[in-house]
Amino acid sequence: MYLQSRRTFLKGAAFSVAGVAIAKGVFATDAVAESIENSKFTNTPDTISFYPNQSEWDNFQELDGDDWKRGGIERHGVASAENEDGIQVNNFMLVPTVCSNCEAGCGLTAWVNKDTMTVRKYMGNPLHTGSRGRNCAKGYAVTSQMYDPDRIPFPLKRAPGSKRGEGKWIRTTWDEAMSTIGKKMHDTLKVGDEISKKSIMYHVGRPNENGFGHRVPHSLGIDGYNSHTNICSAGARQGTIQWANDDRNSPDWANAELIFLQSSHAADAGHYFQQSAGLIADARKRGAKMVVLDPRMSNSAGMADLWIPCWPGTETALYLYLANRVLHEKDKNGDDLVAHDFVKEWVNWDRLLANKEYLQKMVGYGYISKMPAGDTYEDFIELVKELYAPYTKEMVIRECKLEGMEHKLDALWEMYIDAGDKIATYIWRAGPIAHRGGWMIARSAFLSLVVRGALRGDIGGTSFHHWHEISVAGKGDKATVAGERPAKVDVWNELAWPPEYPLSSYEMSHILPHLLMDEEWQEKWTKKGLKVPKKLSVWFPRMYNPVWINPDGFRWIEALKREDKIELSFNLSPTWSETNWYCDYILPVGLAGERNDQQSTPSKPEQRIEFRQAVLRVAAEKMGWKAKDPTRATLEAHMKYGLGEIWEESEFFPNLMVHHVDPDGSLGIRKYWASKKDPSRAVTVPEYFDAAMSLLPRLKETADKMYKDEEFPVYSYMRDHGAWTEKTNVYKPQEEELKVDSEYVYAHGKKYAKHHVKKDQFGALWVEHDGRKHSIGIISDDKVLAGFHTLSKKLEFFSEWFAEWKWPEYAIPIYPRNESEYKKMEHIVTQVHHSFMKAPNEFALNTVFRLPYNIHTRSVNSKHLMEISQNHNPVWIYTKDAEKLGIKRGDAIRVKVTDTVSGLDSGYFVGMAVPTEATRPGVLACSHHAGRWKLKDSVSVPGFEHKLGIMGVGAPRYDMTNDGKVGTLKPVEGIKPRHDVWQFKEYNKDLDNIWWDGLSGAWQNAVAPSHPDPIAGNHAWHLKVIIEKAKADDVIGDIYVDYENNFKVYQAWRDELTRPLDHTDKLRRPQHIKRPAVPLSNKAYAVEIKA
Amino acid sequence: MVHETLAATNAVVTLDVAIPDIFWGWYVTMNMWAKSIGTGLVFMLFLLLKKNSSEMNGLRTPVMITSFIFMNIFLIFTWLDLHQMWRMWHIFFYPHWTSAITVGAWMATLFVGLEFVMIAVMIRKEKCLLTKQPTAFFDKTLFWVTLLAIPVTLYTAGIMAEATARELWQMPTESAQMILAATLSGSAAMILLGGSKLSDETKSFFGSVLGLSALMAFIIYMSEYIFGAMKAEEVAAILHYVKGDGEYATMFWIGQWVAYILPMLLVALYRVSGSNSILSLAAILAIAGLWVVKHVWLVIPQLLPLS
Amino acid sequence: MQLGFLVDLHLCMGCKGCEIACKVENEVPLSTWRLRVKYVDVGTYPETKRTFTPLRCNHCENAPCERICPVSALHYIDNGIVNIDKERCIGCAGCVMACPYGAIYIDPETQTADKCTYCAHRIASSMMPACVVACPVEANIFGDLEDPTSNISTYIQQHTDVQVRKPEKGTNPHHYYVGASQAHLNPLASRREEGYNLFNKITTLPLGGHH
Ligand SMILES: Nc1nc2c(c(=O)[nH]1)N[C@H]1C(S)=C(S)[C@@H](COP(=O)(O)OP(=O)(O)OC[C@H]3O[C@@H](n4cnc5c(=O)[nH]c(N)nc54)[C@H](O)[C@@H]3O)O[C@H]1N2
Ligand SMILES: Nc1nc2c(c(=O)[nH]1)N[C@H]1C(S)=C(S)[C@@H](COP(=O)(O)OP(=O)(O)OC[C@H]3O[C@@H](n4cnc5c(=O)[nH]c(N)nc54)[C@H](O)[C@@H]3O)O[C@H]1N2
Ligand code: SF4
Ligand code: SF4
Ligand code: SF4
Ligand code: SF4
Ligand code: SF4
Ligand SMILES: [Mo]
Repeated sequence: MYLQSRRTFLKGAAFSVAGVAIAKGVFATDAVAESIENSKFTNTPDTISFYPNQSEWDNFQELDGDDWKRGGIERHGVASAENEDGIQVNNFMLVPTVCSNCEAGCGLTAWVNKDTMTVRKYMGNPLHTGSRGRNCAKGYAVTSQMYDPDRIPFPLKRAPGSKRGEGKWIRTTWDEAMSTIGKKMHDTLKVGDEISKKSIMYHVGRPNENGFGHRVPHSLGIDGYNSHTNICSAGARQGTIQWANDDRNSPDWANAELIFLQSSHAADAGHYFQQSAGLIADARKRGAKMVVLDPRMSNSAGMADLWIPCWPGTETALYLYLANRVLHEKDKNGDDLVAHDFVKEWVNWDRLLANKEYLQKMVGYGYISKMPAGDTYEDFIELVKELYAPYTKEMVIRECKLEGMEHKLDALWEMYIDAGDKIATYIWRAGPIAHRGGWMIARSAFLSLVVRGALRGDIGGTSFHHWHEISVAGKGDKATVAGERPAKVDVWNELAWPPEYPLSSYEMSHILPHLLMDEEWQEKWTKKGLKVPKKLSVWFPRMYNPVWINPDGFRWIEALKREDKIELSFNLSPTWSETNWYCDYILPVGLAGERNDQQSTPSKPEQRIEFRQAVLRVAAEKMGWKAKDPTRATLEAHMKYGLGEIWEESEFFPNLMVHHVDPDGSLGIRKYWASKKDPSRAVTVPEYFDAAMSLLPRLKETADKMYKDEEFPVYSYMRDHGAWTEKTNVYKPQEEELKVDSEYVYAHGKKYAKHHVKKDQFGALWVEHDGRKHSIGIISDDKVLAGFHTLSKKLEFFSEWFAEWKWPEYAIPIYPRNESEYKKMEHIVTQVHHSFMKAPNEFALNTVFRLPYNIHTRSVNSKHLMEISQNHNPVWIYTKDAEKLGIKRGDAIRVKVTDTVSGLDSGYFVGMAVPTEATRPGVLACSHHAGRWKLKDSVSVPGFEHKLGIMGVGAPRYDMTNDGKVGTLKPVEGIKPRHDVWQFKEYNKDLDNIWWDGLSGAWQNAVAPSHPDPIAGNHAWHLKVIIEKAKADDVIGDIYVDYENNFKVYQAWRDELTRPLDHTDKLRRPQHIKRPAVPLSNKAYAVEIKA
Repeated sequence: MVHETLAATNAVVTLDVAIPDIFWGWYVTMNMWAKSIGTGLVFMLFLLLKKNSSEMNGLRTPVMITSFIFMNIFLIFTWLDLHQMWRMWHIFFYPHWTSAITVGAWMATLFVGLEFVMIAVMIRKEKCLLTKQPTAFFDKTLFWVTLLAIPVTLYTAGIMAEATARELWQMPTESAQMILAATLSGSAAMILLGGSKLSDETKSFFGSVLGLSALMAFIIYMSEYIFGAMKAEEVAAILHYVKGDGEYATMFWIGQWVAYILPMLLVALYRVSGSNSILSLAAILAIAGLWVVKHVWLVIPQLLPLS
Repeated sequence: MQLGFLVDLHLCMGCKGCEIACKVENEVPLSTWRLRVKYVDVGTYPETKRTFTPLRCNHCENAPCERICPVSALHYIDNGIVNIDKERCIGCAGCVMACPYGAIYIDPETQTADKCTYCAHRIASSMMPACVVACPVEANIFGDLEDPTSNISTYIQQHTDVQVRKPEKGTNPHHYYVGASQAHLNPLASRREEGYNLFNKITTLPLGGHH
């Protein structure tokens, strides 16, 4: 080795002629060669690995990429005491954590430089079996987010005497914030009445953890959890609830033959994006085909075998057409295409045929011409054959506006049939979130899988997430004084779940400000006997930027500014955002590598958890550092290592509860957060998460063996590995046999005495507990099987409860068969249906899509992600449409929003038009990632030497006006090169090269009114718009919103389309479907409404 | 710019990072231009020596000083163009001989050094240590310096040839153009410097050199302009910038007219009329036009995206 | 040892994970890239497609950049990588003019040339290049071309459509593409319209600052 290096050197030297160079070289190079030889480094390694072995993670040496630019080890050798000029070696500790930029929860490893205690980079975690050591652009961007020059360095408080939104801030401490907030919560809860339990609201965006957040309001005994889900994916969830009483599907991408996409995955974004993309790539390597239904050519569509640009919202017709053909046609061998074995066993056709009353209704609706002859499966097949016969190819071409694309439908049919039951899909946002009745798209999409047997959850098919996800983050009770879960909560919060939306998939979060300010509505329900809160005493969002990402942003601003409506507000956010501008406190909590959560991603048929950690704290602790206060270890570590006063939720909440909300335990809350080990203090991260994750038996067994000497073996295992796969190959879970012995039936971790278990005529097994009836399994061929999560334990083609809950006409997958049915079935016809588009400048606006390198409002703190995207969000317009209207690339256009229910106009935004072949005729598209704004470039905090910059790499500065009726924004100045950086200065020295200004997009969400779907409750995102060339004074980025009108639009959707609870109702909502996230008692469910 | 592909492809870049703009700009134009004059004067001086050495008197020192000045302008701009100017010495201490830049730098340095010695000898006259006969020394050395001037003026063509990315710059054409640039600007400068010191015959001779250089350079440019596109799509794409309403079309034609067409016509006129001022005008135009011509040719291939 | 790279363009889905991984790993300053992923939309509605092409240094066997570098700042190392030495570089930009692929830029912080090194520092640490590790779909294959059993060698053997960029330049790239079309590899096969486009602003920058 030595000789060889030396020889190599001499060979190199022979090319240099200048004597000096040689003389200097010979002398230097001996040391150089030696330094290489004495190291593990060589330019010609025997093996090249993706990651170091886990056993090396505590101490891994790697040459520095920046220092290597000096020419590498051949010229300088490896740095050592003898060879100081050598290439620097980083002494790394790899601390596993989890990416938080999207809900995929991919593994990360933080490469902590042990000498400087900084994170040099984040890479993947090879032990995470879903992400397999890989990450997308957003994953690698975690480094630049961590060292964002405009990170909020310490807790901020609205300056006394200033109003919300004035932008005057003072520095405060975590302790002050906790004591003020805690006292307010204490005082609220002390009252103890029903209203008080509805007056505190924890409002969570994409939480990226599995249950800790739920535990916060739960332990407070309040119905105070609100999520963002109804702007996210609630439409698809509604369809899934109706079929399977599950929250979402879960495909086996890797083994599928057909990747059938409506939401994007392979190339765009989509749920569990890069994990799905990797698995889809595995399938495509094997020859699987990929089809994408999308009005816009997404990246996935752009690389798919087939792109079908249906008119948005009409996909239901296409899915029902597939079902129709499957029902009527035969394969080459003359066999039926229907997967009879599956449908017969696992679809609840038997209940449909048994329900004569409903069948009568079907006849009445004209769905079928006559009552079925009998009760057999064959009768059912005859029924559905007739039911779906109208959905012909011609009908699809007309309804989905696919003229000239018959060949595409043929190709789709071939691929769909060839794939057999190996069809994987992920029905998520796309159509289901974009349209009124979007949930029916999900409903019918699943039908096309059901008839082919692809929803059996077998290899290569599609299953449901429930079986693939592990949620234990809310279950660390054993580490607390209480030792058990808090009791169910007794109240029902109308602000989260108004009586108009009993079946809403999730909380009606997008109309929270409307509900808070709609006094007429409050009056109405108060008169009917409900105790409707008129204000909130404490509202605190986390990981949520509702002002910006919800529709009708000015309404949010209006509500957040009203101190009589929201008495105290604080935002748990590491970064500046439009929302925290209007809060009382901004509490800077940690990013992906700076906090602790358990997460679980059902991205493939296995059960896995991942553990997110505060990596600097972990590294320091492993190197022997100890926090003064173990309940605040993360905060202490972040302060010590220069990150700032950055804390995290899993230490903040326990401390808040134990010392401030319920210091003396009188409210009964303290015990859920005080440590069992030392009841005088809050529970610590290791205590809590060790208890929670110990609920996984295989993990516990392994950890106990590996970490026998540790106090918290499971915590220690997860600290060092970051991910754990509890079970693999989870296929056909519904067919799993339940354990039955002479006395008991065992289901869902509980046992039921046999004599309490009743079987109904369809074979379902029922028990009664907690005053409610539950089905626990199903008898099939003498076996007791787990079944699906529905009441019938089967997939529910016929959603009986849905029919009972006032929507009988939509209790089966259905869609208007002709124009005359559009109005009659308006609840499932999109608000942007082509029949609403009259003039050539009237369009449907697709507001729903992702760019793979942006995350909602989370990218603005990453210089790298901002550089890629430049905060650019043009309005996509089909080339020929643009030509017709005389619009050219880069032109400013006014996009005026108008509502097809109320006929009201919302105002406009001025966007930049980009003609493209990548969106269908008649449909514009505008993404929501970009177009961020700020009202000031920075704020000065009294007593602090530096100005705090605000979103300085990604958000231009705007002027705003809003008077309660009309709101406007006008861009003032774009993003500029930065020379003023004081935070993480070295890391950000390249900010003087910023070359983008971010002035090409507008905040379109502000113009959109809320469109609550009358059934699923979700906001139906798409908009009918009328475009025209911008006026002389218009600037791209301008918006003008008539938010008084928008208020009326929300009311119109609510009052003209819903079927609210009335005096005949005894329950707020069917009890068997989930009502996230806090468990409610029967008392809470019970309702009495005055006639 | 869609070359080569079918119209149906309709391929358009929808996402890309910012790519670098022109890298070698007017500093490098200055470099080539000044070097052409500097070396061209040496060529002309040598021609004069061979043709009519008696007319050398009174011209040796001023011409050599002018050449020296232009060579230093060339060196200064070469140096200024470096992003790490203070590391210029690396070329001498870590030379890489496959690089035309290295070879050129060494030779140019040697060339300028020799010029300096020649000037010093001429100025210091009898005090000279090297020789008792400065003029003889000068004239003898001139041969070697002239010989050296050939590679010195050609090496830029070598660099352009080694610039594999820039298809427009081909070695044989560029070296011909480099030499012609030297003879063009050298003869022009000589005409201006020589003034009344030169006989009419000699002037006419330099006028012919000027005219012929212009003609040949023009022919080569036009050949490339017309035929270049027929051989390589990249060349075709680059030439778009000087054709039709291309970004550099106007500048290109200004250059061609001022550097070549007008001087040719003026030289012809001079030969008919014998008017010295016409010849001087031709010389001035040639020198000024050369800068433009060189600049256009330097810049246009850099406008083409490479990836 | 001759290290080489291959990108399977059937698989690449343009996520730009590799691009950011490279930036982070090598501290590549804003406004410059060692690696970039270019999107080209191809075709006419409704038959439109989108292509994605990761572009980086090809580590040419006959590297024009190395040849033109007057001071051997660009140099070959033992494993076949074309490496760069910022201390040696005089910033003449000869290499920028020479590289037919636009792979070299002048680092605005150091005012010296820089480019992809195949993460030579990672290689010397027995680690895969950062962009290879990143890729969610394993579109990037890296390894020793002289070892016929390496991943990359077998990949090349198993595919018929292995191509390099601009073979006519005689550079002999050690960077291959599978599944490439003209739109992927040939910059002249697509329109590049300055100004804002579908996803960002297509523009040129005076790199290196001082001109
Ligand atoms: N890069 C990135 N990845 C992300 C996120 C992110 O912000 N950035 N966010 C994550 C989150 S929170 C979620 S919920 C998921 C969502 O991921 P997806 O469920 O994939 O949802 P979207 O990206 O909103 O929409 C998917 C596609 O639907 C198309 N589409 C829009 N309207 C219609 C329609 O009416 N019909 C049909 N057929 N298609 C339509 C859009 O053009 C888009 O290409 O992504 C997650 N992944
Ligand atoms: N037009 C349009 N609008 C949309 C969508 C769309 O497709 N089109 N998509 C919708 C969808 S699917 C969703 S899910 C929502 C998402 O919207 P949100 O749930 O609001 O999610 P983000 O914008 O990702 O993050 C919100 C805020 O979280 C904070 N944050 C960032 N990182 C962290 C962290 O590590 N910890 C904590 N505590 N806080 C953090 C920041 O303040 C950030 O602004 O947007 C919706 N809005
Ligand atoms: S897919 Fe989501 S979780 Fe995974 S690396 Fe990308 S942003 Fe992070
Ligand atoms: S691609 Fe360019 S930079 Fe890379 S080795 Fe080849 S010539 Fe040099
Ligand atoms: S810029 Fe630097 S690396 Fe490039 S050729 Fe010049 S000296 Fe060599
Ligand atoms: S090999 Fe390394 S330097 Fe080259 S593109 Fe990939 S990450 Fe960047
Ligand atoms: S990481 Fe892979 S899939 Fe993503 S852009 Fe790079 S090569 Fe393509
Ligand atoms: Mo979402």
